[in-house]
Amino acid sequence: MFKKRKSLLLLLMLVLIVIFVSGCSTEGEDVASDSGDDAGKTENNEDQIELRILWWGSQNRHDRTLEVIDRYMEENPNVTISPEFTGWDGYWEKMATQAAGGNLPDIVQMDYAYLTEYVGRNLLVDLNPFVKEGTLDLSDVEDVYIEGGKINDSLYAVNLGANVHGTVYDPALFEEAGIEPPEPGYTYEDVQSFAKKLSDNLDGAYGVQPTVGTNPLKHYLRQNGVSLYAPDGKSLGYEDDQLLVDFLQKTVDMIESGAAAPPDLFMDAGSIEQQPIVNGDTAMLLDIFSNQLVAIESAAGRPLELMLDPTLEGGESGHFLKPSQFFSVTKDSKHQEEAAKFISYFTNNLEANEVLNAERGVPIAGTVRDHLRDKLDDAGKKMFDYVEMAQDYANPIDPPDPQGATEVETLYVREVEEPIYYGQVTPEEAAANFREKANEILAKNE
Amino acid sequence: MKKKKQLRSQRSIDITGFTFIAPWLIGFLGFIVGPMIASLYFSFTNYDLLSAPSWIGFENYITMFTEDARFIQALKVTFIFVFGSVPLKLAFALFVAMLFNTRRKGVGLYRTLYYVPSILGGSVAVAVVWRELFGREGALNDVLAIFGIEGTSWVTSPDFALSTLILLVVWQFGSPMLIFLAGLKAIPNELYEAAAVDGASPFLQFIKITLPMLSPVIFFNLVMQTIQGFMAFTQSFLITNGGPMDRTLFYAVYLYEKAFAHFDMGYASALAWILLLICALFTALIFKSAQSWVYYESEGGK
Repeated sequence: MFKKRKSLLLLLMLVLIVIFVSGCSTEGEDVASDSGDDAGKTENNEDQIELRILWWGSQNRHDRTLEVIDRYMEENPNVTISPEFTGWDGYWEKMATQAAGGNLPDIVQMDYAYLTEYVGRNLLVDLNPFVKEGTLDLSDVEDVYIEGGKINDSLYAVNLGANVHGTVYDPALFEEAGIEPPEPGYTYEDVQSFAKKLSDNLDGAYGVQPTVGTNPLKHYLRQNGVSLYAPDGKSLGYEDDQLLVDFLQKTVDMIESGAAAPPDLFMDAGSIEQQPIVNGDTAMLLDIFSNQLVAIESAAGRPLELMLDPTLEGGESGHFLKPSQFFSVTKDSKHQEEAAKFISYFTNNLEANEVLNAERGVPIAGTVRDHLRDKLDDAGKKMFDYVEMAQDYANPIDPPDPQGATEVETLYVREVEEPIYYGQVTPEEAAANFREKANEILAKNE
Repeated sequence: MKKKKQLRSQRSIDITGFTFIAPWLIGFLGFIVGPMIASLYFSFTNYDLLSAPSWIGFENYITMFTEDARFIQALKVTFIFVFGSVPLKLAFALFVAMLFNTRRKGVGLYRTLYYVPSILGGSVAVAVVWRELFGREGALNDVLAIFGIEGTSWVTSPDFALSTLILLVVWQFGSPMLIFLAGLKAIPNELYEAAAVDGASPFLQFIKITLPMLSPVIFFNLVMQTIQGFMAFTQSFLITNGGPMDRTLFYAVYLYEKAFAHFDMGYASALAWILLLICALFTALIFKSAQSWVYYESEGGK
C-alpha cells in the first residue's frame, strides 16, 4: 500500500517536472524559431511580416484607425498588423514598461512632449534613410509640417496632423449678451472686459473658463519672445519671473471680478466633451487645440467657433503649427522598413485618409488636404480654415520639450495652476516657487 | 509531540505536501521573492527604466527624507487616510454585522447586497461612479439642493477631496462585515442569556460580552484593513489623481507617478521599501498592543 503510494507520487512529480521543463524549453524553441523566421523574412519578402502598432485616442479614433489597418492588410497580404490601443491615461506608463522590457511595438504614436525623452534614451529610429530611398514618401509635405519631428536633423517622428492652439466660443451666448464676438487681433484686456460683460449680461453663465495651463503659458511666453524651456533644456527659458506673474494675474483678476468661472465649475471636467462650454455654462474656453473642435462641437450639439488666442500689445505672435501626434518607429522593431512603408501609406493614401477624416488634425500631405476639404462636415471645415488662418500668425515652433519636462509639468499643475485657481497662492509666490523647483529638475539634464 | 514524531517518519507525506504546493511555491519565488530582491537592488540605483541602472548607494533614501516635500505630503495624506478610514470602516462594519446577526426575513439578501460594494471595491467602475456622484453635477448635490444647500464639486475641492475618498472606502465595508458576522455567530448564546438573567442592559452586554469575545476578529480586521489602507491606490488614482494640489496624494499614487510618469524606478523602489517598513511597523505595533486587549478563550483568557 505504502509502496504503491510512493511510486504514484514519484510519477506525479515526474509529470510535474516534465510539464515545467517542457514549458520552459518550448519557450526557448519559440525564441529560436522566431529569430530563424526573421532571418528568412528579411531575405525573402514573400514571407509573412508581423507589425505591432500602438496608439492612444478616443473610440472614434480607434474605429477609424482599425479600418485603415484592415485596408492596408488587404492590399499587402504578406503583412499582418496587430493593433494595441488605449486612452491617453496609462498610455505612457504602458509604453515605458514595454520599453523597459525591450518589447516596444514596431510603430508607436508619439507626442511632442515625450519625443525628447524617447530620443534621448535611444529608443526611436532615424527615419531619414527611408525618406531618401522613397519608402517613406514625404515629397508632398511642406517642411513646416515635418520640422516638429526632427531633432538635430534626424527625423524621429512623422506628424499625423497639424494642430494650432486656440480658443473656442459660443456665438449664440455672445449674441444673447449683445456683445460682438472676438476677431483676430483682440487683446488680453479685451478678454477681461468682454468676459465681465458676458458674466453680467448672461443668466447662469460665465464669460470665460479661465486657464493658466502650460499651453497658454507657452503661447504668452512666445509673445514675449522667450520659451518655457531654455534651448539647452537645462533650465527654464525665461529669466524674469514678472512674466509668469503677469500671466497668472490676468486669470486671478478675472476669477475675482466674476468674469471667469470659479474653479469648482471646471476642475472636475475630465475630457474635452465635459468642459462647461458644452452645457452652456461658459461662453468661451481659452485652452483648446484645433482638432478638439470636432469632439467638443459634437458633444455640444450646436455650432461653436474657433478663434486665435489673444494678442499681446507690442508683443510677437505666439502661434505655431503643432504636430498633433506622430508615428515613430522603435529600435525594437525588426521590420523597420515595413513600418516606414505603413506610415507612408497612412500619410499619403487618399482612401485611408477619407476613413481617418482628419480626426488627428489637418493632414500634412498637400494632395490629401485638398482631397478631404470638400468632403468635410462643418466642424472639420472650421478646423481646416482655422489652421490655414493661423499659419499667417504663426512663428516657428519651439524645440521639443527637454527631458524632465513631464515632471516639470506635473509640478506646474500641482504648485502653480491649481493653487492659483483656488486662490491659495499669490502669483509672485507661485512664480518664484516654480522657478526654483523646475530649475532643480531641469538641472539634471546633462 | 507524539503525533509530530510519527509524521516526521513519513517523508513521503512531506513530498506530497511539497508537490501540491509546488505551483504556488514557483509563483511565489518567481513573482514575489524575485521582484522583491530586484526592487531592493533598484532602490540603491538611479534607474530610469530604459537605460541600465547605476549604483548610487543610499542617495534615494537620503533625498526622500531631506529634500522631497511631496514625499512628506504623501505620507501625511496616507496617514490621515488610514487613521480616518480604518476605525470608521470597522465601526460601521461591526454595526451592520450586528444588524444582520438576527433571524429576520430576507436577511440573506441584505447580507449579499451590502457585500456588493466590496466586490466592486477596487474596480474602476466604482471609482468612476463615485466621481460622478460627488461631482459638481452629481447626485449628492441634487439631494443637497432639496434642502437649499448649494454644493461644490466634492472630488476636486481641496477641502473635501480627501474626505470624499475616505467615505468611499468606508462604504466598502463588506469584507470586514462578513468576518465580523462569522465572529458574532461564534459567540455562545448562553453568555447573553446568563447576562440577561442577571439584568445586564443590551449596551452592557455589548461592552462586556460582544467586544471581548469578538476581540480576536477585531484584531484580524484591524491588521488587514490598516495594511490595505496604506497601500490604497485606485481611489485616488482614478478619482482625483492625487490632486487638487496633492491633497489626495496617496503614497502608492506618488510611487506610481515616480516610477512610470517620471521614469524614476530607482526612487520608486526606495519608496516601496519605505512603505513596506511602515506597514511592518504598524503591524508590529498592533500585535504588541494586542496582548492587552485581545481575548482568546482557548488560552484561558490570555
